[in-house]
Amino acid sequence: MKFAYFPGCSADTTGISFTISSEYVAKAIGLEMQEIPDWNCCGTSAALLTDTDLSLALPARSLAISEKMDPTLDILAPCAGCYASLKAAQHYARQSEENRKHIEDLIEMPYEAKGEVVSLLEALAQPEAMELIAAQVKKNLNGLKVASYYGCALVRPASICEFDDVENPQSMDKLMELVGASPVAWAFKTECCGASGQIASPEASRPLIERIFNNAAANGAEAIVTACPLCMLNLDMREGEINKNRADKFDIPVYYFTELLGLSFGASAKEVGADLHFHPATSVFSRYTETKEAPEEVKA
Amino acid sequence: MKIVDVSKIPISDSNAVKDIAEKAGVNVKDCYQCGKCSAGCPMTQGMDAHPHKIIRFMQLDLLDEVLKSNTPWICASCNVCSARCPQNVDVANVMREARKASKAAGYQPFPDSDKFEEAFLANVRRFGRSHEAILAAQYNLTTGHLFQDVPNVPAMLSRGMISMKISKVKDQDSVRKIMKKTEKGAE
Repeated sequence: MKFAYFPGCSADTTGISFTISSEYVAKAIGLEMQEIPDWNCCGTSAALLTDTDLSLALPARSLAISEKMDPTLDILAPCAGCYASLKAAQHYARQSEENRKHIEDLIEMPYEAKGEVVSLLEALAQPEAMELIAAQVKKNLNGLKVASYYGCALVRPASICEFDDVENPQSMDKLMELVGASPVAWAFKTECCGASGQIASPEASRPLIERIFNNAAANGAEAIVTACPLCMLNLDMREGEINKNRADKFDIPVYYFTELLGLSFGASAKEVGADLHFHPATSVFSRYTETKEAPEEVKA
Repeated sequence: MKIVDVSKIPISDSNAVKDIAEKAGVNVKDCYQCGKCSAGCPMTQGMDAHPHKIIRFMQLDLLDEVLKSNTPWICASCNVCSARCPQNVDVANVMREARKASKAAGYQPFPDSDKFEEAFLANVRRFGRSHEAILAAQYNLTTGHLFQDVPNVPAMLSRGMISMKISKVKDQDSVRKIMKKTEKGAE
């Protein structure tokens, strides 16, 4: 398995644990990721809210470079936001020859829209990858109750994303079951975390996070599992802030699904970046290590 | 309740509303006001009109009500409304187009949201990539929310989430060219 790799802007900053854990899992199962040279920001919602052409052209530039690098490779975008932007541009280019030419005119580069854009979740939930994952499991997660949280961009718009069910997606649940965890049934799988609204309209957006934690807790989840760096940041970084105004505090660590896959492969918290969370997240890891000592968390 | 004399709506309003719908790729007459979009919307709390009401305004050619509403600006673009519409009305796309039209008309019912997108794209224009720390600082400065999220900074630093190395696109001219070509309204 080999992919062209689009890291995205959060890869070495707020999404650092996603990068560390993705690379750990990829290495363990022999998934090769060849970085797209000189990739640029996908534009995400900022471009979409400014100009439609801009929202198509920014991701298309990186897609065209990827095609130039190796036209046979599919493009892997771990970040859900990047995935959504790249996929939308590719979808548009495939709709008609006129659309494809329009994209080429905008970016002044040839673009055939040959390679598929896939999210890391989608790539790892394929039967071939699941077999490779199963072969690496050294520690069964032994019924750890997880709430699989997909958010928006991996499943919507449904006509573009297509790879999983729009209301009740299963890919992350399947991966969690594969390594021994028990995904809980809950109602907030695809609810919005507030995205950049957590910065631009915090008053209207904070309740979204609290409702997600509430529903996960009500359904007995010991952890929330994500596949998006923005969902992760909004939940993990703001859990403490939300707890300040609550008598009944949440104590639910949030993980990237790749961190828990890594844990089942025998990784330490540090090896998959789980020591870099805001809400302490290494305790779940220490459950599965022989030494009962809890690993150190990075403190502020 | 406000009474609207629909026979007295100026043609210009009608055309402008049609333009928003066309750009959004929807026929507002498809909507039968079931309210499912609003029922599933996670952001209604901060909105002055629920999403189905914006569609209703459009059906009635009430341009001002659409352009002055904060609803398209509060919208988180989560696309739940569009996914659940039984009539396939892409409500989220209407929100995006209404927001652009509102900005073009000089309304800014919710300027913070706009300043965030502008700061984001300014980063992309400069580096080809977005830098969260610079973005947050710019946003805080332009909106006057100087200390927003500042308490999180030390934790982000110790976790290596604020990169001191600024990652840039080498062929930044090609990104700038794309931006110049496509951002009709912006800068």
